[in-house]
Amino acid sequence: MSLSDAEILALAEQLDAAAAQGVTVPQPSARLNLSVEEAYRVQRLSIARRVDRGEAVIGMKMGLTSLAKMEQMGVHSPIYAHLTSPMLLPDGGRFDPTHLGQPRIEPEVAFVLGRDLQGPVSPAQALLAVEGVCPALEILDSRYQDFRFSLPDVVADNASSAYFVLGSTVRSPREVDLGNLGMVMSINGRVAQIGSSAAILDHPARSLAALANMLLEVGEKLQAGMLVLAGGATAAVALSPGDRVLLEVDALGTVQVQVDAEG
Amino acid sequence: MNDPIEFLAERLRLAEQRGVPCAPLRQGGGPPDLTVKQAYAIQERNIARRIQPERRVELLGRKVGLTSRAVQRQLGVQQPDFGTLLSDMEVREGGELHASELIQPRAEAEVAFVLERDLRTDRHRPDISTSDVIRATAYVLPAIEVIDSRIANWDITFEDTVADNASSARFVLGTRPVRLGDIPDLRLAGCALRKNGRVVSSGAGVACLDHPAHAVAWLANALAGFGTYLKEGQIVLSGALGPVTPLAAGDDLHAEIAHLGSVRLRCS
Repeated sequence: MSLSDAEILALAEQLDAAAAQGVTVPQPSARLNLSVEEAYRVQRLSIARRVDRGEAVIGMKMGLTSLAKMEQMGVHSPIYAHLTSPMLLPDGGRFDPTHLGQPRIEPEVAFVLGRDLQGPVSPAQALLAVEGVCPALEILDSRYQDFRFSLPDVVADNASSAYFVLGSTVRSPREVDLGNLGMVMSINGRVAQIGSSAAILDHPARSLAALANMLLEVGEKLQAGMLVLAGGATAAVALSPGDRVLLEVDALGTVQVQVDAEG
Repeated sequence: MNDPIEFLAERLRLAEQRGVPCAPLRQGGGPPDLTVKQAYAIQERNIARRIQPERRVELLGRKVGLTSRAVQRQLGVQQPDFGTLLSDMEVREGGELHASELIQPRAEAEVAFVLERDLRTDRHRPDISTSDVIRATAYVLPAIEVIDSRIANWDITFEDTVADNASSARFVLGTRPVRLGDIPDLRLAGCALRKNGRVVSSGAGVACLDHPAHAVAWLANALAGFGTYLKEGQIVLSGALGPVTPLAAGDDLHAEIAHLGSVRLRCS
């Protein structure tokens, strides 16, 4: 039994409003039998509302890219979501956490596409479309209490995205072996997470190819100039006001962000 | 119990020989107040028995254990420990490990240091520094260490694992030597451990006491307290770069450490 267009639009409006106000809402799956395909329709409609307000879609992100997260959610493929212009923070920048309910942060690598990328592609083919690669931090915030959600719930919620930061140094993917980059995320000078880019679907290029191939299913492609967050290399860490976060990635450099202090 | 060291050493020795785990050392008649010093004495007792040059069982080097802050927290300690590597623990690169020889094996990827000179404290050099370690290292190799507790269900305290040779069982070394100076930054070197083709553990050099060379320096200083030292040609397994993974018959392990290369171990 599928949802009506009106029900899908209502969910999109509810999630869009919750994200704008920094409040949580009940999981759609608690009362509706939402499919993953319908959840992506909800996501696209909520992004369309942001675009109507003047935001631009500047890229995409991948989620559930680690074996551990996929097993935790009982799924076999990652998910994707949209990145819009106000979500991008400058390297070393800060954000106000008061309109975020429960922010978390995770270490990632990001791709900048030099040309359009359309599936079906292999990881090696996908890399050919990449102009640059850089370290990235993603700040997550769920519109559901305690980050509790089913797979369709999180897809509808634009994969819990809130903000992201890119490192200032961009390297060519031809110069760096991206498959096993050490990644160290420190919070207030203490090591909080240690990982490797190998945890991102075995290789970040596989994540990029998977994204292009999933978009093909809905007749879309990635466009030149788009940013792609390949997925978290470690579990996300909860943030508190005043936290300073530094990510160091082997061969790629660093990226930093700070949470505004209270008051 | 006249000699608690021998009493507990025998318990661990028999557990290893028979492949049947034993009770934690404090239980089953062991002294409830076993000290770290006694635990190392138990380790030393069993190692001395196992070394038999006439049967080609010799001391090859040492391992550093508990080098991850997370694992230290689990055991409620703030220090690593060390164990001894013997030649009968080494599995040839690409070789096969028989799971039936072990009790409850787990595997981890590590950096192995091979020394080209002694690392020894003396009156003029009371502390071995990380730069001393770098200077004394001929080369490093990627390694897989197979750990195995002789204590049932891995229900171990710090003293239990120290007495049990730091839970060491087997190790395999890669075959392509790399000079430390050729590695851009070992602290940020990524580590991926794949089991049957899937990444089951990932990490980086920083996971091992913030830098694997720090772990070797810690070891060099710790050994001085036992009247011994790291010798030219010896191997040091410096500690895990990511979480451990359980190992079972049929598993094919592949550890890849960025800038060092990879090493493989099959388990039958």
